[in-house]
Amino acid sequence: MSDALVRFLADRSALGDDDQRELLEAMKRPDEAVRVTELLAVDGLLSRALSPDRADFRNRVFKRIAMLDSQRHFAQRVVQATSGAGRQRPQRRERRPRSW
Amino acid sequence: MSDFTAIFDQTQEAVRLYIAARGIPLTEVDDIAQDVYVEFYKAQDRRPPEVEPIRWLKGMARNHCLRWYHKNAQPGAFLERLDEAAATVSAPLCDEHAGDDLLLALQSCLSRLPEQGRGLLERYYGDDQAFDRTTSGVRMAVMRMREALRLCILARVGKPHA
Repeated sequence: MSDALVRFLADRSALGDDDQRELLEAMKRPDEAVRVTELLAVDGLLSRALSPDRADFRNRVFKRIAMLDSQRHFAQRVVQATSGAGRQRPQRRERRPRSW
Repeated sequence: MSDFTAIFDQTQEAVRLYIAARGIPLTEVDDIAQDVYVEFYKAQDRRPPEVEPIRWLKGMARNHCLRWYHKNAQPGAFLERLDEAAATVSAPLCDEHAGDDLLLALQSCLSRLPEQGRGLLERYYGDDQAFDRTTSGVRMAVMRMREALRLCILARVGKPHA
């Protein structure tokens, strides 16, 4: 188990140039590429299962979508109101013939 | 909305896992996944009917990851190269499972760990601010457990390999 991989799994920004090269070199071997990808996935699963911050994902997404919908409805109402105003614009008064 | 809700419930674990497996820092994974679902919601009709939602969503997630790599040169440039290398192989754990089944397998595998190890993982991944995650002893112990859990999960979901 390489030190570079241990540090990378702990902190994605931790590796210097040499360590990055070492890990990329190791990834050329298909079995190692699979292993690193799966370790990243296990890291994600553990965080998903054990981090309380990630439990409200569903609420966060649906809140954003509700906001998006309400913005869309607002925009639709504005469009309807302005186009309606265009239709209902009072006609210009006919000019009365000037009575000289 | 109801179609979207059903697709969301069926795919969200897999999409979040897919993003994590691309090397995106764990603190960013759910923000990116959120953007993916909002974009999907806005343009649901762009998905060709013959393309499964999960395939479409993973494609979108990949694009969002690439955008993240480009926006965050450090460590994005390195992660992008790592992702390119990973794209040349198929990782059964990530490519063939829905996410929910992997979480179930993980829970089962966690329950088989010694209590001390489980406690360490709970503190490492939990929100205990006082816990020092940076010591090499902790990192090494967590790494060994990740490796053991990877093999355990693969065995549980029926794809054991070295």
